Amino acid sequence: MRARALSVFLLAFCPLLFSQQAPPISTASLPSAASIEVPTGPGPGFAFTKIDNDLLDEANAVDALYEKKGLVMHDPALQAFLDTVGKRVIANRPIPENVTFRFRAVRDPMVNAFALPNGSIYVTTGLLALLENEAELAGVLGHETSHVFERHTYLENRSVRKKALTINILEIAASAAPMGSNLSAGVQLFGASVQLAAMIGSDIIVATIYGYSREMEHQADSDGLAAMTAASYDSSAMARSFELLDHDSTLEYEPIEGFYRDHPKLSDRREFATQFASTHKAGTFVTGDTKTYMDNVSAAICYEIGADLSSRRERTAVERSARLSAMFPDNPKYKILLADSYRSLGSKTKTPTDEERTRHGQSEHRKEYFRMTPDEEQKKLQENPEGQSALRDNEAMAEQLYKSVIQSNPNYAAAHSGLGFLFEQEGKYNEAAIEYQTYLQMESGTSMDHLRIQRRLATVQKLAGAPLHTP
Amino acid sequence: MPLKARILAILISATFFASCASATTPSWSYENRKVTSGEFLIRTACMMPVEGKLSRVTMKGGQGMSKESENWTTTLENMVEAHLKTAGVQILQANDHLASGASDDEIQQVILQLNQKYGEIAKTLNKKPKDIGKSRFTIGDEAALLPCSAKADVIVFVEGEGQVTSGGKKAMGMLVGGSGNTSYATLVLTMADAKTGEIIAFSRMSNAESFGDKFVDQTEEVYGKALNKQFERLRIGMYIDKKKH
Repeated sequence: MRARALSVFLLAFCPLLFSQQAPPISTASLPSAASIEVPTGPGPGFAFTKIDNDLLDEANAVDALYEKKGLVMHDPALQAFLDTVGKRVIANRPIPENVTFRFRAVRDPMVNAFALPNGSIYVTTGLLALLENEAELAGVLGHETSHVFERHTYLENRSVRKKALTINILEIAASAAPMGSNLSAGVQLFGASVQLAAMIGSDIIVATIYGYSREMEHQADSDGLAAMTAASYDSSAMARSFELLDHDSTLEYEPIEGFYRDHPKLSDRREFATQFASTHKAGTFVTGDTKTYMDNVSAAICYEIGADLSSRRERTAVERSARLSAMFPDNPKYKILLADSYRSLGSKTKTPTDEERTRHGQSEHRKEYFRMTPDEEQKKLQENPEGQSALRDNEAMAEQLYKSVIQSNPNYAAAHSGLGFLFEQEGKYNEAAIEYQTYLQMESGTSMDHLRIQRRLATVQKLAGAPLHTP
Repeated sequence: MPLKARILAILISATFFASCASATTPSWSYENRKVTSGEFLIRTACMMPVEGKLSRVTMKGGQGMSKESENWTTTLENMVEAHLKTAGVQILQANDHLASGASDDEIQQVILQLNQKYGEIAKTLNKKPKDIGKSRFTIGDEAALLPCSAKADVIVFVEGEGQVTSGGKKAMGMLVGGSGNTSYATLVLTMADAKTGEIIAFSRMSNAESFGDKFVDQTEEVYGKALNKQFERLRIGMYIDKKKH
């Protein structure tokens, strides 16, 4: 009887404990363009406790770990650009206690950005490669710095800890409740929901990376829009960045959904940003052109393309390298990246097929992702005419690109090794051997790829039946 | 003893034994036959940076253990290297320049790239590790981009993952049952051919239940024997002669 009473009590309060519903978005209370004031968070009213200090230590340790693992990019041009935009976004706001703002690019293909409570703002190379201009980056940094100003990580940590303790208590209570057919379906369901809720990981740093509660995210969007507007950036750029995220997520299956993509829903966030921008139109706002942006973040995009190719995201690699190459058509490095991307695309189509876009197709793709190695996936695609056709087109495109670089820069060694890889893939071993030999003649013996190409040359010569000769 | 108290005692005991039984995970290993047959000899190993991750689960939720993880990473690294050396294997480090002329940043990027490739392949490797025998898994010949690969026979990936559970959480586990309420640690050791990138050996070693939380301080006691056994099984270094016989 007592257990049933407890269950009813818990059932009544459960929605309050686990509710994550966001309040309805309204732009009615938004300030006008002329008098925009950027919120600066709880200010001195926020008192640090031991739990907060522990979290701060944890954040500092995460910074150190990223550095140690080589995840932080140290390209001078990229760093200078991030610092310039970041400082502009946080300008004229008092820096909270225990915060030192640092803006960093982190080597990670997942499209994401996150803030640690100590002021470290990380933008992944995946996101940098996706954005189109300075104002969009300012929107991202404005959003993330707002999490720091508003002390969201500390507040979330305190809240999660309370919830975790509650969940554990509820778990004990649920297990103590009598089980059997005499119980109502509601009580059984209630017990199941507590068990499920208890399974949610509550490591706050991980939560920080994946996102905060919907309320906090809405607040960060709102504050971020205000911050970028105050810094004279066009606030409509934030809405555009949500559009880019939406489009990019349709390219291929991703095992980990970035928080930016669906929490809260992108369409809601885009609508909110658009409404804000429409009420804050002025002639002095800047966006920044795409070419300058891409030039500044080119190191991140180049890294990203390589990372995409290493993680079965060839379509994304093609799209990103095509954009880079179109913007800087005379740069042979970017053309080679595009050629490499087409070569790696193999039997995959450049964009998802109609079948892949269906619910069933997506489910099948997901299964294959975990069941097959990349080579097996390619072999399977080659079994159908669509895959064979895609392979022919992609290889032809890659060959054309490699040859165009060789035509304009005959001594560009990477074009020869790339062409060698392509010929080897096509089974043209003699042609591959010639290209590898040319590469080895051009590169010094200390190049990192020297040993690999030497081995490949030996292999293709063996396959072609030619005498073994290594220059 | 009253009936209610007796039933409660039986229930608590049953839950306790059930949770103990479910927490024990067997250790196992798979390798390609060319390693055990003597076709592929392992005399020199290139060590990739070790990954050790610990987390603490308490009644107040999960907590990171970044400092402890760092210390455990160093402990695991030293332990695996020491056992490889004892087995007569020469050790090289993945981030060594070895007069290659490559910059720190270039080597770091290759390490990240190989880790990423390994992460990709691990999804299928973890599901069907026995397919190592079919030469199904590879990180690609990008392995040869590491300066150490010129001299090494294998590239070694070492990963450790552990969960330390607080007393309160364990007590709750006894009452409620289910997984995730006990401490555990797993050490995964993977060897890839330094020339072709093919995965040739994969071992997973779990801590014995009797060690409980002690796996952090007594890493050698927990994994030492299992490592020696594994190296003998692979017949690496000084065990090569045994292979020929």
